[in-house]
Amino acid sequence: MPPVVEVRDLRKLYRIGHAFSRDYVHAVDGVSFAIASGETLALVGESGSGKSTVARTVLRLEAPTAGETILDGTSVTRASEHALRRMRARMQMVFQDPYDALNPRMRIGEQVAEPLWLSGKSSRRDALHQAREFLRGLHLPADADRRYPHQLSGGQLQRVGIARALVTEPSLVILDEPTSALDVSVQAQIINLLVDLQAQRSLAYLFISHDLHVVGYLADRVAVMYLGQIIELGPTAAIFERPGHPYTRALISAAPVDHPRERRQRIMLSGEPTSPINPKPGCRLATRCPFALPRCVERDIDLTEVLPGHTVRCRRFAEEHQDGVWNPAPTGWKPGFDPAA
Amino acid sequence: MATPEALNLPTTVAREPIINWRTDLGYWLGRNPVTAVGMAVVVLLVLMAMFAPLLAPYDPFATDPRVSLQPPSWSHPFGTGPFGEDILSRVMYGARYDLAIAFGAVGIALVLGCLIGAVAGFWGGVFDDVLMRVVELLQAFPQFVLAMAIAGALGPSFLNLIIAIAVTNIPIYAHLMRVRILSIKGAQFAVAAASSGNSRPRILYRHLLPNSLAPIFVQSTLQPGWAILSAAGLSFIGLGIRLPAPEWGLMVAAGSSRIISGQWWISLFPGLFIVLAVMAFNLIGDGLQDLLDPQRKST
Repeated sequence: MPPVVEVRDLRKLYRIGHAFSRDYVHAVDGVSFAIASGETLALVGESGSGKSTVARTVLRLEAPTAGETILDGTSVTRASEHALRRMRARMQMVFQDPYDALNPRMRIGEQVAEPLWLSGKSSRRDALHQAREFLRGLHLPADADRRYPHQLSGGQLQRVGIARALVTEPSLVILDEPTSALDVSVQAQIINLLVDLQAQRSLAYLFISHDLHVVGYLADRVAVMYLGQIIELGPTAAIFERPGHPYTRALISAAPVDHPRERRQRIMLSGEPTSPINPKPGCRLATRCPFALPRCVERDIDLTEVLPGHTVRCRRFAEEHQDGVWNPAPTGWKPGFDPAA
Repeated sequence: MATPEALNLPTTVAREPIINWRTDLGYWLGRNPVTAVGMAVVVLLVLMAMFAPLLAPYDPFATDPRVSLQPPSWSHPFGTGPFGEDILSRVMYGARYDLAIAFGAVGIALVLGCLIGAVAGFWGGVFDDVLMRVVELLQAFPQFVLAMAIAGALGPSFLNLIIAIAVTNIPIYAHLMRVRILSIKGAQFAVAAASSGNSRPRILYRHLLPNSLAPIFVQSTLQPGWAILSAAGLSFIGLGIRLPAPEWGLMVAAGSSRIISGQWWISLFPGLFIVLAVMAFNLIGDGLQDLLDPQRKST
């Protein structure tokens, strides 16, 4: 079965400084992935790794510098403005902060109906009716469609946000940290609602998060981003149990454990991420990686398939692993600093 | 679980999310008596202008040489002018001119200024550069001198007076609107609107504009006082309306030469009404500013 969405070598560069400056922030630097119908791909990484920029450029809410998104066999990136607005019904997004993601001066019903009638799927009147029905199905107050956002709670607002994204029966839904602004008690409700809706409609989810527990629960596959690149992509179980890339290992080992007596080996990264402005060739983690060697910074590192469906962007891992197992010793080497000299 | 229905709470909702005008206005006016006074004065002035033909004891244009230059008396409470015209009647009719100028000039400036500011802020780039440089060009001159120049170039008439004052007021609204649009155009609801399939112009007028109007609204209650003052000033120096129209500033000018010979009432009463109207508008504006921005409490 062909994937619902395919993203090919997506890039987003932001020029900084004056109009002729040659300094670019490489926010997204060659990201590729595909998601099948009914599948959830999680995109994880620290703040500033480019997760949200991927979301905006995949949906062309911002034009990518290069690369392409193919949705149901048609290019989102090359569509005309008019065609793009019609395609929007098939690719929707749920935003992080439900208080900020809804227009404070527009009735809830109007906002949920917008994607329906603006895409030409139905008349405005029918859209308002459908929106009301959809909101009822999500256990919102009976008159929720006539209310304004400030009259609902955060959890209710996020359900409104989900209604707005799903009312058009899209193929792809991008969830941009949909629970991080909510109370813990409400988070579970929202997650379960998302799981149920996906099962009913076989939706493709791109789930952006830094909450590894939620990712482990929801995702089929996980892509780990660091400084604009995917550095590891594989099945959720493999990523959590046998992470390959040193950055993924550090990330997984940093997640809080379930039991206070549980202990595990911590992989510590030192220092700050390097600047995303005009990055140097070679591995972008080299300055922080405990296992770095001079050959890590010789040239750019490619994503290498180390096991079926599991790719890693680490030269040493690709060269030294045995069936996905690699237990290196810390090297103490840093780029630009050689202890032997 | 207690639902609003079970508690028998009203299920109808207010249109206004930030201020519920129907219930909040009375409460707020009770706590801000000074603003209430300002509002009452403006309402009275508007009523006076509307019902001037019923209220005025004389025709404002009628002359009567037998009663010229009479001091205030029971038959002419504000006295009479050099041709025996009744000052009280003229002041009442004058409210029509001055309020029309105030609301007309502010209205035109509001619409044009918001349009310029919104386009500049939303589309940015070349639009922003060109439009805002033009606006800054207007600001480079002192407001009153610019109004004088425009009124002078267009010629003295009622409409030209309104245009002159409106143009000098555009920069305030343009800047306010531009900054407001810039600060909210990156909000998630604006991105969500694009994701819902809104076109760029529709994002601007349906999603961003309704969320930008509060500060503009406050400013627009502060401006009419200034507009009346400018109109009076322009008419005073002969660039506004011409006699015998009963405009307040013009009446002050006409009577100014007679203060020295003792006929103070010709200038004083229209002058008092200018002060009254300007103060009333400023009190409302100040009060609204406090209501919408509680951190900036003025006394």
